[in-house]
Amino acid sequence: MRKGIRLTITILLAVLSLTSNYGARADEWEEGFFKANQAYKVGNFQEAIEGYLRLIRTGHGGGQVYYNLGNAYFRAGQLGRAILEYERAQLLMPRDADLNFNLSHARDQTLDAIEESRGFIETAFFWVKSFNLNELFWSFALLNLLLWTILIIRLFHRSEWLYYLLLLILSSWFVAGLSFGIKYYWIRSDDRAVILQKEVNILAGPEGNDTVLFKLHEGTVVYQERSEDGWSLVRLPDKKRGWVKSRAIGLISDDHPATSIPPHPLRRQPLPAQ
Amino acid sequence: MKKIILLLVFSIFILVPCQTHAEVLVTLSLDRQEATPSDSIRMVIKVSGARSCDSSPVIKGLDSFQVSPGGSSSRVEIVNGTFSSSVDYTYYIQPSRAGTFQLGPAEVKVNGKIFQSNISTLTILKAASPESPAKGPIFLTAALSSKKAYVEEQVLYTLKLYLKISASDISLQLPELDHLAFKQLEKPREYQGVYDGSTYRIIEVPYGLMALKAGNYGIKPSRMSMTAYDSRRSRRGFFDDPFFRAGRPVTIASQALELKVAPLPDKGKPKGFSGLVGSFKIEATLTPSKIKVGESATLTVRVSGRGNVNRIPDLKMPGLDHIKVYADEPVFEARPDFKGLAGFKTMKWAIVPEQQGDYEIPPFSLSFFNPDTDAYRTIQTAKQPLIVVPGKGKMIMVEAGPGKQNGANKSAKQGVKELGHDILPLHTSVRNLEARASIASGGLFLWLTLLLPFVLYLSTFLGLRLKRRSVRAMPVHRAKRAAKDLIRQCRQGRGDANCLSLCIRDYFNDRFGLTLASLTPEDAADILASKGVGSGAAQKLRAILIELENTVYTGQTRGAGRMNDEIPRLIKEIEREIR
Repeated sequence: MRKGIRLTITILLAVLSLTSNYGARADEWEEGFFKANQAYKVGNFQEAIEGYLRLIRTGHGGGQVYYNLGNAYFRAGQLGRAILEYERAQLLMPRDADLNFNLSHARDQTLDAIEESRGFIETAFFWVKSFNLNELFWSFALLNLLLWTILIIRLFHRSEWLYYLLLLILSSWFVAGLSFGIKYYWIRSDDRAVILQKEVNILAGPEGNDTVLFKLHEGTVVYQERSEDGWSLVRLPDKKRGWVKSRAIGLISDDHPATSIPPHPLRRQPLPAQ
Repeated sequence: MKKIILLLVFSIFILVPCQTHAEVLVTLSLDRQEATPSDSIRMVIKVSGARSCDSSPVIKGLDSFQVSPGGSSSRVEIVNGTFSSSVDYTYYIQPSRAGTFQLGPAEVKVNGKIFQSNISTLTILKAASPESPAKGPIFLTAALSSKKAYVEEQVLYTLKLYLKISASDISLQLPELDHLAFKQLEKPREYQGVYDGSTYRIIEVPYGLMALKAGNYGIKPSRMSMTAYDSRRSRRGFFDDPFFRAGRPVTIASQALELKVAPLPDKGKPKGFSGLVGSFKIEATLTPSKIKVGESATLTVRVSGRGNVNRIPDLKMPGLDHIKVYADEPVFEARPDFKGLAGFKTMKWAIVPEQQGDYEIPPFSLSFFNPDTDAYRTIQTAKQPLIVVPGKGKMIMVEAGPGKQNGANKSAKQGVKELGHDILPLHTSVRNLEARASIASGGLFLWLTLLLPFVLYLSTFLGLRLKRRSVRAMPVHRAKRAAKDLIRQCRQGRGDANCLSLCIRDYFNDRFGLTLASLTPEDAADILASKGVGSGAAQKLRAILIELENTVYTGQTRGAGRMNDEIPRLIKEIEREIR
């Protein structure tokens, strides 16, 4: 009896300590977020950038943190990094009106006129871009639950309306599943990268003395095919290809909560001392 | 009856208010603007908004014409709930001499009020002697408005199809020449005309012709293909020709023409000449001319004219000190007619002064080559004064949208124009600050979320199936156990005759899936016979059952022990025979 009481008390204390730790850490994140916002508001954009980056590295990169980071980069005159962070934010909150406006505004500032091509799947499943992966997953999970629930009901009771309801849910389940699958594939195979330097030479090979094929400017989105020895082979929508120093581009899917597999090693570490 | 009343009520509600709002409009139209003294021209006076007139129209300017009335017709229409009515008075006029005549206005009296029409101009040319008389019942002519032109000067190329017989499926093939562009100006028009003393139905198609390069052009004949039908009115003479039998395909060609195109002269060519050739005018307006600081005024410049209007340039607004200028998208509209290609371009700028004072918008100039005078000409707008008084102007400048100017009492809708661009502010909410568990990285919980409903379904399905299977297997199982149960009962030897009789009944029920409440010896024998048991075994069981019945009804208790031995043997024999 005494042993049971002791065990219960121990468990309760452990739970309380965990929740209090969580609460303390939540306060810490929020404080970091507020401080970064404050730095942005007084025009100290570099401090704001560091604050947001710290939050992201510790696993608190919600869509709004990436958005704010993009804003801070924009104000600091780093258009490429601003677009990179806006693109990352868009993966998490694709319907945010402020974000879409700012991203569009930032894209307008870029120098390279590159037409984005839309493939058949992107055109046919146009709505997929308007939802993030979480939303698509939970929509699919809900429809999945409904579908199997109706199938279970039909084992015991069959009626016409149940049949039509099943057809409706089944078609929705199919569309939602396909949408989720497409989004999942897009995110897993997202090879988009943003040019981070004012102007970069795109070379014929991964050597500094190779022929310059063309030049790209800050903020232009390219597709990274592969990278080796600090060089990346990039492709434009019009099929132009060439090599660029890997540090001159930023991968949109790199170090991103929705795409990092496995999680970034810096994740879930305590906040460094201020 | 109800339907008729409803229809009447409906008609009253629909027609009466519409009619009261109808406005009378009189228009005078001619089937062409040019003719010869031998032609008959169709003139129509259309009175819209009235079903009848108090008297026939009185038309001015018909002194030099012989007028033949062609009758009148009235029309009432309800389209999409809109009621309209009109009366058409048709006249055929034939000129007595050549010249240019102003026809109209036509005066019409409707409900005691006199309404006047527009005035239409008609040019009567001197009758030209036909180039090749006796061309037959169907032929095609082509004519150029001028045999000489400058590069990009517009020349009219008019095709006329003369028909004395009916024709259908008419198609046209224009000559193809490098550096020479044809543009159809209007839809073909059809009228009656006289050629070489004969009356023809004439179909006229006007084209604008423009040479892009200097040189002498030989314009090949245009060709028209059609299906011609034989005339039924005459069975003799020319129409007896087998060529004009009903429904025969016919292709005719116009005459070839020549056009001499000269280059635009270099002498006097203005700087920045855009290549505009024709006759143009330019006008500018600034509204309002007095505003407060920060408010906006709209400067409108309109270039209009006749010629290669697509060359009208987008005029540039010069930079002005202390004034912000926002250009609107220029509006261009081409209006081809029977005289050629005309059109206009309207350019607008929003002008927002930043300081008070008196400003002057400089003039806009436009250069073009006028082929009529064989010289370049530069025209310009007047200077536009703008008075700016102090005031706290709005930072959002507005500009009147097109087509919103009419209606003085209405406040004109205005489009909002952006004055600046910048990013939107930070997000400050801490909701969802922590990144959620990554779905892309999978995870057992997520897979379980998707699989759990399926597992539940599968369990339910398998459980139900198992249950159904066990219900179906029960009779078989009972049948298999029936003999064993009966033999065990007999060997235990605890039952009396009645008990044995009941055990045999239970054996039959279980073994053959029956629900008998009682079993007579005859029934038992019949059942066994039906299951393929031999008559010997069946009769033995019958005898045993009779004996058991007798034992029960006579109250004897002896003999049951012997039965306990005989029944198992007999049951085994029956089981063997059933199998």
